[in-house]
Formats: sequence, structure tokens, C-alpha cells
Amino acid sequence: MTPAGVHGKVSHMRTEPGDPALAAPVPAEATARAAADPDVALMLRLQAGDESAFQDLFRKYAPRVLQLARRFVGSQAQAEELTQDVFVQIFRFRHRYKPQSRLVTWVFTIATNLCLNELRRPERQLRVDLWDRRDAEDRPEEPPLPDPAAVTPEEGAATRELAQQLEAAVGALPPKQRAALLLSRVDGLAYRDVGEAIGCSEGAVKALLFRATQTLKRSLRDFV
Amino acid sequence: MTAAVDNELAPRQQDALDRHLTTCATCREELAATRTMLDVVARLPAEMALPSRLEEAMLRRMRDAARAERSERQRTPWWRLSLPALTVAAMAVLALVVGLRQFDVVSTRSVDSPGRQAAKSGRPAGPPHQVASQAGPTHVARREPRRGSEPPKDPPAELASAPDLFMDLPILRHMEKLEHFEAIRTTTLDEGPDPSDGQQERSSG
Repeated sequence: MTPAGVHGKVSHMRTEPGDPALAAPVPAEATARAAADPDVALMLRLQAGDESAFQDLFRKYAPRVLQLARRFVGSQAQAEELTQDVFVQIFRFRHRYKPQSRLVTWVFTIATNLCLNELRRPERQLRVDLWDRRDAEDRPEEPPLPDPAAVTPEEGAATRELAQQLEAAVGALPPKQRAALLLSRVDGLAYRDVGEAIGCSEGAVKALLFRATQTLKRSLRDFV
Repeated sequence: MTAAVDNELAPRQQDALDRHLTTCATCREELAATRTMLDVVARLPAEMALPSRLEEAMLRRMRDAARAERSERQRTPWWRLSLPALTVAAMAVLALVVGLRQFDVVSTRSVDSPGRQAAKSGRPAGPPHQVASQAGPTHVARREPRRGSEPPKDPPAELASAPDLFMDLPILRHMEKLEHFEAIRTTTLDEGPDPSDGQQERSSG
């Protein structure tokens, strides 16, 4: 999964706004939805060949996709590769997006699928094994959990400790439980959207969330 | 418990849980712990600062993808462009295949002569000349003489000297294997004499 932008041949060719080769006809119903939903308007602009729409989309969703990917693969570099892959997929399949569905669900469906696929790769298993054998002090420090209420140094240290433990516990969850938990609690998707993103029913999402929460409660009983 | 925290339980389930919680301290604690844990998870940062190199690399990849798309469209194969022509060609091929199958069925029926049918069913069959005549004009019209080799005028000596072979039912069962016999039969029918004459000639010869 080598990003073409880093190792591949760099192209200086630009896509022009309204490029007819990349444009698709926009139905009237979609236009009406675009007026009500800025995300739909963004996608319609992208479908019409507007490169700036892609930039806007990237700036809006990439920080969330990057964070989600990092919580799946652990390393910043791989998370950045995955994020690029997600947006390349979004660009390639932009004409498949239907304005009837929420853009955030569509984006996170692509992101979750790529993250889960990455975890299934055999060489990934090897990397995880090697990672687990490394000493804890060699690992990069996880980002601290921001908490405005933590004003004293003691409280700040406790919050950082909890954040590190929580990140580690979430990272140790089985992939689907992790996906359900992060999409539901951190990214705020509804159960139905979470089910769509990870390919299961709402009932299955509830079960995944329950198991994930039970595991976290056991792992963090000394902190929470 | 997570569904209860998120108010995702059905009304009937929610009522049952509420009734249960009034009497069960353990479940009240469990529900509170679940709510606390989910709140803590929800406080995890949802976003991460984007490195500037990531956006630049992303835009390069997007432009590469756009260029690849244009190249792909320019290389669109002819059969994607002319769908009507492809449809007509497919229908012509289909008609040809159906026609060949019909021809094959008729030929198979004609080869499966009454003599062979009788042999298969175990009933006694008439002499081959009668069988050949019963095959009728369809058989004669559809059976073309073999190309490249003229049928022999006279039967081979070993067959001509043993006309009884033609009356042998096991041989009739394997008629298709006896090429000489088939050639003789075809020649006789094509030339149009009364089959009984050929039989008499062979018998007298």
C-alpha cells in the first residue's frame, strides 16, 4: 500500500473544475437535497469534476479518518497511508455515492472496510507480533485525552494516564468491537449507520458494543 | 446496558429494565458503570491534526487517479462503445447455434434408423435393404456422400463373398462403425435403384 504521492511518479496535471470527462449528470432530486445538506452539495460538486470540492471534503473528514485509522493500525505512518487510500477510494467511486445516504456514513464505511482489511493482511499480523514484543518504553506516546476540567498537575497526570490506558484497551479490542465502539461513541454515528459501516445489523452492533464495554470495564477497573 | 444508556431499547424492554432497576442495586451499579465507561470513551479525541504533507500527497494521488480515469476512458474497448452492434452479433451467433442444434437433432434421428431402433428394442428387424428403404427420402436427402473419397463401386471382396453378414443383427447394432457398409448403402440409395436389386446382385455375386 505505497502511496503514489510519496513514492510514485508525481503528476502535475490538474483536474479543471467542471471537467466534462469526469462529470456526471446531476438529477433534480439530488440538487434539492444538496440545498438542504452541505455534504451532499460537496459530493455533487466533486461528481461534477470540481477539484476544490475534493480538498474541502478531505479537510473536513480526513482528521477523523486519520484518527480512526491510527486507532486501528497503531502507527502514524500507516494511518496516513490508510487515510490516503480512503480518499482515493472516495474519489474513484464518487459517482456511486447516492445523495439519499449520509456522506459521513459513506466515508466511514469506506474507512472502516479499509482498516479491517488492513488488519486481515498476513504481513500485518507479523508486524503486530513484532510490535507486541517491543518494550513499552519504545512505543511512541499516545496523544493525551483533552479534559478542560483537569486543571491541577495531579489531575492532568491522572487524565493522561487514563487516556493512555484507555487507548491501549481500545486498541486491544477485537477489530469489529473496536470499530463499533469508535464509530458509535467517538464519531457519533447512529447504530443503524454503524451497522451499515461494518456490515451487520443493529442488533449485532448492540452486541458488539456490549462486549466491548464489558471488556473495557474489566481492563480499566482501576482507573474508572 | 449499552443500548439502555443510548436509549436504544424498545419501549417494552425499557419498561422492564426500569422496573428491574428499582429493585436491583447490582444492575443499577452496572448501568452506572457502563454509562461512565461510555462517557470516557466518548471523550477520546475524534480528530487528529493533519500533517501538511498528507494533504499534498493526497492531492497528487487524486490527480493521478483523475489522469488514470481519463486514460481509461480513452482506451474504452469498442464493444463497450457499440452496444447495439454487439447485441446484433450476439443474436446472430445465437441463431447460428440454434440452427446447428436443430440440424444435429434431425441428423441424429435420421441416423437412428428403424433397424437400429429395432435392434435396440430387441425386436427382429428386416434385412438391411428394407431398413434402408424405411429410412425414407429424408435420410437420403440429408446424408451427403463423404467428401474427398468416392464410394467404392463394388464391395470389398471379403464382404461381397459373405452376404450373410448383412443379415447379422449385431452388425446392425454397430452400423456406424462399418464404414464400408455405410458407403455401400449410401451409394445404393443415391443411385436410386431398387434396394432389392442390390441385395439380389450381392446374393448372386
